[in-house]
Amino acid sequence: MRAVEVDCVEHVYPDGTRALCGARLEVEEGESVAILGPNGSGKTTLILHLNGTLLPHEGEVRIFGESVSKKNLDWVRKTVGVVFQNSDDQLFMPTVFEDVAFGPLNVKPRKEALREAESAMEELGIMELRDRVPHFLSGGQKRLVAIAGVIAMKPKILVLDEPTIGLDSEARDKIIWVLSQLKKRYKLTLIFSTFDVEIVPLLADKVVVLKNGSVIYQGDVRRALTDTKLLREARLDQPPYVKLAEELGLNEKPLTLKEASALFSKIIKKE
Amino acid sequence: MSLASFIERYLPSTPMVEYFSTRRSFYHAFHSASKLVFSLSMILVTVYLKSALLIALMPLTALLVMLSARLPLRTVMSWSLTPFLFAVALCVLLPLIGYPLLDAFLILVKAVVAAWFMFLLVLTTPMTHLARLASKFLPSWLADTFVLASRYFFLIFDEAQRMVKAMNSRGNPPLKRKVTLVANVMASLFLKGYERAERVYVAMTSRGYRGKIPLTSPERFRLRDALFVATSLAFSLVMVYVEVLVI
Repeated sequence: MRAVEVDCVEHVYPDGTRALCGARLEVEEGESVAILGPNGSGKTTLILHLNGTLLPHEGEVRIFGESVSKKNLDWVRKTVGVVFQNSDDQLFMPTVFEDVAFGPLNVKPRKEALREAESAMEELGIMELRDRVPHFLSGGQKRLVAIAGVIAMKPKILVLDEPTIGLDSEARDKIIWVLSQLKKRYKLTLIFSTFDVEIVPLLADKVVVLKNGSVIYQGDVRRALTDTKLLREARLDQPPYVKLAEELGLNEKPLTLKEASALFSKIIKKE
Repeated sequence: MSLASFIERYLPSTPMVEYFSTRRSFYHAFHSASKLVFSLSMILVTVYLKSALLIALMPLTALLVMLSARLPLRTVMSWSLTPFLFAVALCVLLPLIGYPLLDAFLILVKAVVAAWFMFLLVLTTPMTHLARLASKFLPSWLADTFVLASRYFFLIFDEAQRMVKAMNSRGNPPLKRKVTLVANVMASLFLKGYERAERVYVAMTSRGYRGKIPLTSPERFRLRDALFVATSLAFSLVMVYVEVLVI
């Protein structure tokens, strides 16, 4: 079933900035999609349309076939969980546990809500942060708590705006691991925007490239990340292993460390 | 002393408040409601008293409780400078309009002691307990404001400190310009706060917010809390009794 359909969506901000111009996008249930694009290409605006935070001026956003409108915002927000770019905007409660439990307590009986909050925290391995004040958490911990808060709502679609931005490599690896586990365990539909091309092959089944509010590419991850012209247009770097393979004049272009190590071992063995 | 170091030294900072409020002591263990009753009753009694002798007992009480709560007196004294300066600004005017000097001095003492009792409450009670308490006594919109303020006040405060530090790191402008710059910092903080409020509201509504923030973390009101409340009220009544009937 199609989880998300963005059909010719246009959005103009009050200052006249045209953030989305006829954007089209389809995401199947259980699929993982990376939204790539330069600053100001409309990634965040597109993400805010997916759970009805912004409504399109023209066009339509459909979630599991239902058109997003003011009438069904409750259902849309329960179905689509969004993790915002700045965790401080999302962690508004005095302690971590209060924050994770916020969503479930709004929609479920108290006992069940608290159980779900605890299970979301266990899932992400952040139980030891339970009574901590969000203000004093590290960037990675804040991001994990923000994800736990959304996961506790049991959404069918998880949307993340720049999930690894500003994180050190350990925190980044943890986020990648957590997202891939969530995807596997709950068969979540995952949509994330990023500049970090290295995480795309680890998490995404499909890539969408935005430029000036329009989708200029939608399709295969490997094709997108090895297409120098497309990446240049989206002002993105090539993944490091692709760059290395190009420098060495190799035809095969590895996207991940695993692929690169397999390729180079093959070459070494041949020689 | 630069503005940044003044703020750091003489105004409560988030890490310090958080650190002290989550420590363990005999006083910390009381229910937040009983600590609130104690602080409020002590403040009311302090304000009510007129006898210098009885008023002198109030700072001693505050200091004794602070010691039992293992609070650092030096830090509390530094933080008392701000309420002290506010009170001084008022009290220096009182003799000019005919108040005796002693009365002006006692008002100054009362103001600082009232601040100490509030410090005692805030530095021994985690924000989450205070927020829960607020949600019981206040209308939901006000309680929600308190919960959000408890999270974002310090964030904005830290942001202000960073901005002032950044300003100072780029030279030491003359006082007149400094005042203009501080006004700019305030304006910028207001705008940032406004934008953040919108983003937070979006985050809240997308997690099912319908006009009331639900809270967890229940505290248990035990017998010792009831005894503590009773003792606080009895002490207050004795002070008032001595003031009215004995002195």
